[in-house]
Amino acid sequence: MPSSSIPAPAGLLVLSRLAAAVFGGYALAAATAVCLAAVLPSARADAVLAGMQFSFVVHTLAVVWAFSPVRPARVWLGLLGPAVVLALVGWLWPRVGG
Amino acid sequence: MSNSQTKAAHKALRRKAAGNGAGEGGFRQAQAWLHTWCGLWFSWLLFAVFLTGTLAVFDEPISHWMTPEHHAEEAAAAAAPKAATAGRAQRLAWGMAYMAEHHPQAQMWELWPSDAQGGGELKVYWFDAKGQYVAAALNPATGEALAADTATPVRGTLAGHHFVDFHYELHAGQVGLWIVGIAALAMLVALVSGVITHKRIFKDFFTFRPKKGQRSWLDAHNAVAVLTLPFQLMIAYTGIVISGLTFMPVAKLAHDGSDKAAQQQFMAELNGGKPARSGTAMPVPALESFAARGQALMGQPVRAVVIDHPGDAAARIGVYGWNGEAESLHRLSPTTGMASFSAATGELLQVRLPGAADGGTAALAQSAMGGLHMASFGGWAVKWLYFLCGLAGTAMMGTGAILFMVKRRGKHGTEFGGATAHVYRLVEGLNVAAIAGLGIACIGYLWANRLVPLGLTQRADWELRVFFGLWLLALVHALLRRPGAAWREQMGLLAALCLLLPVLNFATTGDWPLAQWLRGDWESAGVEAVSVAFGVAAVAALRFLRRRERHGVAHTTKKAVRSTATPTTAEASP
Repeated sequence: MPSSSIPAPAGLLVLSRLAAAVFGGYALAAATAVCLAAVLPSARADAVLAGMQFSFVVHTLAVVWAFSPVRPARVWLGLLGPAVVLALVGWLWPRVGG
Repeated sequence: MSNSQTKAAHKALRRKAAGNGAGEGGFRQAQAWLHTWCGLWFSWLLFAVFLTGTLAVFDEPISHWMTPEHHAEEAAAAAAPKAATAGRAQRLAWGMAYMAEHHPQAQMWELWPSDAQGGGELKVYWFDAKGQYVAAALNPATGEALAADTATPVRGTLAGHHFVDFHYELHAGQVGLWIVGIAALAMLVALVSGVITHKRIFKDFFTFRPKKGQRSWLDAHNAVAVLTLPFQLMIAYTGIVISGLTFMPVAKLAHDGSDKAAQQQFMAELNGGKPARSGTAMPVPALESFAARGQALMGQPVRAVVIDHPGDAAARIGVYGWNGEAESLHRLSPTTGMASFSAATGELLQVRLPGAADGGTAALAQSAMGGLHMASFGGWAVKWLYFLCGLAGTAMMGTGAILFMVKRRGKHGTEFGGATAHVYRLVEGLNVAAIAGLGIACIGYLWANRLVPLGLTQRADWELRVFFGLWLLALVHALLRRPGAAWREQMGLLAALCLLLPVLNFATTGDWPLAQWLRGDWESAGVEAVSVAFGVAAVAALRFLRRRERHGVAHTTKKAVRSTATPTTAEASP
């Protein structure tokens, strides 16, 4: 039955977006938390709390964006790219004495 | 059908599908898709979290209603002339003597000398060898240890705390906490995508078209959501952030590591940390002077005196305050005052004023968000406001879930391929069980409190079993019965259980609204009045369902005739 071939790729695309929203979004949120915890000028424990508080806003917006009319490949790139950069900044900052 | 024809048909189908799938159509259409599906799959769980969370606002009155044996004790205690008890200095000395004699090895002694007025109980707390937090009560007139109350309580119950616990961890510990956390994030997503979807947010705010079927459900959904949108955003966000370090631990782990020492280090950075043991013995000094200094510094009566490393020269003495009713009216952050001293030198180590937080701005924000979520400020007026906004949020979930089905009722959808009809049937059943069924489970929990035999071992668990058992039965019933009949039968049972709660109470305890009124027991009277109000609402829902059933039949028949006359494109396509 030819019509059954249509839902399959569509279903995979939804799955890809869902995975990007859940895991890619979480990765971006976590990287934001790590970065803020490192760069915020307040005491470290306080900066950790601030990063955590802000991260859920990031995750929410990431999910909303992942389901906007943008190709799934770009969604993945748009979430994981900044996540890697933010995580790197968070990792390097204390090591270069920022 | 030839190959080219099939291709053309596929193209047509795809064009038709554009704007109906994930990330398809314009931005707003894509958000509508997200709102529909994210909302649907989480609406049942969120309905349960919201209804129980809303009831949790009044967990204390519910607990009061559920422990009628305590009413007499409370009344007697209030009426009895105050027996002469010792002052704070004597109470602290007795508490310390008890700990030094019975638990000298404990790393921490926690003495609660009295209530805010200087009377009441004298209690001591410590961690036993197994790391359990344990307590003992001393006679506040003689200082002798009171026999531990080991007898099973007559009416063992989780009382109102069941609703608190269920709404944030579903009685399932960490797993439940994560499930609710994920649902709360899904709610934030549904709120944001819902607002984006909603073109005329301000205009629709004033629109309600009753008795227009689908349109009315949409209006109701929009009205409750838009009217209380700031509350819904706040309650979901603060709910996540309260347990935020559990959900988003990575920054903390990256900086501190995951072991216990790192955990203590993190807390230490926020509150100054515990001193290290010196190894030099030194008896704990008399505590009253520390208590008096602490009281003056924080401006609150003393609630607790905590000694870290008692018997050591490095011992630290922390004094904690009672929050007064007046100050908790105006303050979002519910922390109490605290002052800590070195036991050896008497030197002041740290002061925290009432409402301030250990740490900086983010720590204070964290504390204020806890207060915001739990309505610890503003007194009864704010509790009622939270109750009403919580009900609106519950209604938002319920109307959303129903709207999904109303849109699809009597249509032959293809969104789940061949299984579409079965999925719709499942959604209908889940709607009934999640909305009416949960209501039955909640009010049934109160009925269980009166009907489960007293003195049963682990009686509290039996009350919970009734709650979950009723909910499960409601689900089975909803899946077996025709949706219309399931709605009516469950709504009818809900109405009966709610309306008859005062009768049940009278039959089992002899207490009734007039008696509650006369003795000024507003908590009991309030619980029964709200139950009756829910019952009246359920009756209204029942009448609505009856009416719809009568009109609905005619409506579907007309539609069926029309659809056979002009087959839709979906049915005609291969």
